[in-house]
Amino acid sequence: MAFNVLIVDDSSSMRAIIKKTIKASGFNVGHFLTAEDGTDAVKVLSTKWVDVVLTDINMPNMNGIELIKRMKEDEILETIPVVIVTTEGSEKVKKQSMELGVKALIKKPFKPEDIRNALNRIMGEDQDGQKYYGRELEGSDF
Amino acid sequence: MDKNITVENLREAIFDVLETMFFEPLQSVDRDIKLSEWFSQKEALFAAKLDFNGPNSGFFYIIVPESVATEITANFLGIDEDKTDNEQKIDTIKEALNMIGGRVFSFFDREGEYKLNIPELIRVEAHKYEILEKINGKTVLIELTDNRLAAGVRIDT
Repeated sequence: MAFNVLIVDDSSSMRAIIKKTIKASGFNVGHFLTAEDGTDAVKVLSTKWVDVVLTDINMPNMNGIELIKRMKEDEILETIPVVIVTTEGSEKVKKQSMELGVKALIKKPFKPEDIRNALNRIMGEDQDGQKYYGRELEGSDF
Repeated sequence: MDKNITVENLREAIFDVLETMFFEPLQSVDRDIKLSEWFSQKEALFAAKLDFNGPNSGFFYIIVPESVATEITANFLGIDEDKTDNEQKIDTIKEALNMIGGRVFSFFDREGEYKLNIPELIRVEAHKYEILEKINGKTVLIELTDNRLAAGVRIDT
């Protein structure tokens, strides 16, 4: 079954390269949706069905962490798996991401397989009907 | 922080970012030369600046000739150079600097005490490179196959 992907990044080039990486990985994507920041993403999430969110952290208006917190306040949005794609990789950010239930943290610069592996694990398990919500994060992702 | 941000970790960050995401073979140049003399003066430069703050503050910078901006944008987006537009070039340079800055901090800022701001871009016209001398930071000079760029950091406090 096709899934819809929301890519949130204030860099249009980065949104394009993430989209291209996912396409090239052969995932069955229904729609690619994009947002320039957290505020824009909230608007998209309120009007479109999204199966997975890939978001940057450092963005104007509403950053990625604020976006995830906002999603956690909504009983439907909180179930959407989130992958962070960011330049930030401190222990503080990793801990915060784990506490917020983020499924994977990918550091920029990334290799295509970083995104492919994260989505394979998240969406692959989803498509097989296995539970992945609440599962402990693997060390390799954080 | 001065003792932590070294030219060596800056150089490593530049190589990581440009080789991994922009597929650019690079060579670092160990030469004492003014920024205004490093470039040819014949074409406009794209100079991006990324402020940071935390225990110390300052900014990272990257300076590339327009032709390099075109080349790395095409490499990054996987499109032909003649299909790149100005907005894509600006965005790509800013994103490259964002990644370089983040990579530098990843070497020592495990507690996340430093905060990166949003990158800004300044266009430097041909034959007006004197403005580059005001940067006054630690710069890494880089040679590409047919061109060159520079990136660095200035720590103010």
